[in-house]
Amino acid sequence: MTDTASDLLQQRIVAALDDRAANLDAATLTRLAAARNRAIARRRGTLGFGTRGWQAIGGLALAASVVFGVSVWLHGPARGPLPPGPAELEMLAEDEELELLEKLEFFRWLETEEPQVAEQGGGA
Amino acid sequence: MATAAVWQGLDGLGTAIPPRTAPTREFEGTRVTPLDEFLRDVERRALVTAELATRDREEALDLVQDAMLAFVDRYASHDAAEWAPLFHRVLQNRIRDWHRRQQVRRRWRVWFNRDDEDEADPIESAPDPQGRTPEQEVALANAGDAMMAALEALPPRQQQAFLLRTWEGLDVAETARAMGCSEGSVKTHLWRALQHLREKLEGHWQ
Repeated sequence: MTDTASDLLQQRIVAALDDRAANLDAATLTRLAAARNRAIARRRGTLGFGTRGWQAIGGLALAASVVFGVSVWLHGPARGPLPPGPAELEMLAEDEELELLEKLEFFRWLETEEPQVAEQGGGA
Repeated sequence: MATAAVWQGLDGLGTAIPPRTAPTREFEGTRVTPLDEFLRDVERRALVTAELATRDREEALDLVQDAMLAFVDRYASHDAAEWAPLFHRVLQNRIRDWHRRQQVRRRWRVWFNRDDEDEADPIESAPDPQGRTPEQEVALANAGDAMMAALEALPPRQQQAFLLRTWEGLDVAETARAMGCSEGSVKTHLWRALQHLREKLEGHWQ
């Protein structure tokens, strides 16, 4: 097949394609126009303050709150020992511990009383 | 090339369509943007391209609509000179995805029917791969329909290469970009497409 013949074949096919595109029925053309208008309308929405604008703001807000949280965690007030939990309170309330405390108080009292007794005994 | 014939028609609202090269202007009292003009220009050929690939008008309309929306979302802000290859790339990706979905559906259909003795023979009940009735086959006697049938019968990549290079007028580099392959592959696909078309249409073009 010569180049000229090949070109002729291509020209005829292109003419057939053009013919088909130019003779689409009205219902199809209406649907194509609707699809195009929908795409254009979406573009107009994007150019305004559309979904992407709000997404950007949401992203910035999220990033800011993460930075704030991390900085508070790193540079916040020093944390002291934690208050006693329920298990520790229970240990404190055990009978043996209370007895020990009572004995300690007795010896402390005795210690304060002994000098007075000695002074009184010494004077007699 | 294809534009002149396309613009001679009417759009869906029954109004004249502006030519591809027309500058931005008033159209039915509203401002026609370059993007609007571009989509008006390509929409009919896009539909024919999708219809040749799917052999189904409804599927083709869905694909063109998806392609328009995706193109506007992603590429409308690009330079207008790049729009044509980018739009066709989006459309070709949609068509490729459609072919993949069809293949998966066919596989599942065959798998589900495999052990079903009561079902009709799937080969017997399968639709004609050309999707035509005998009456339609008779109607193909005219040359235009025969050419469309030959184009429909091309393997997808050959069909894409032929339509993009010969009908859309994209150069080899733009076609390669739209098809997502190398320029060498475009040339190979186009050459094979032309070979097939010559064989099929031998009696119609001489």
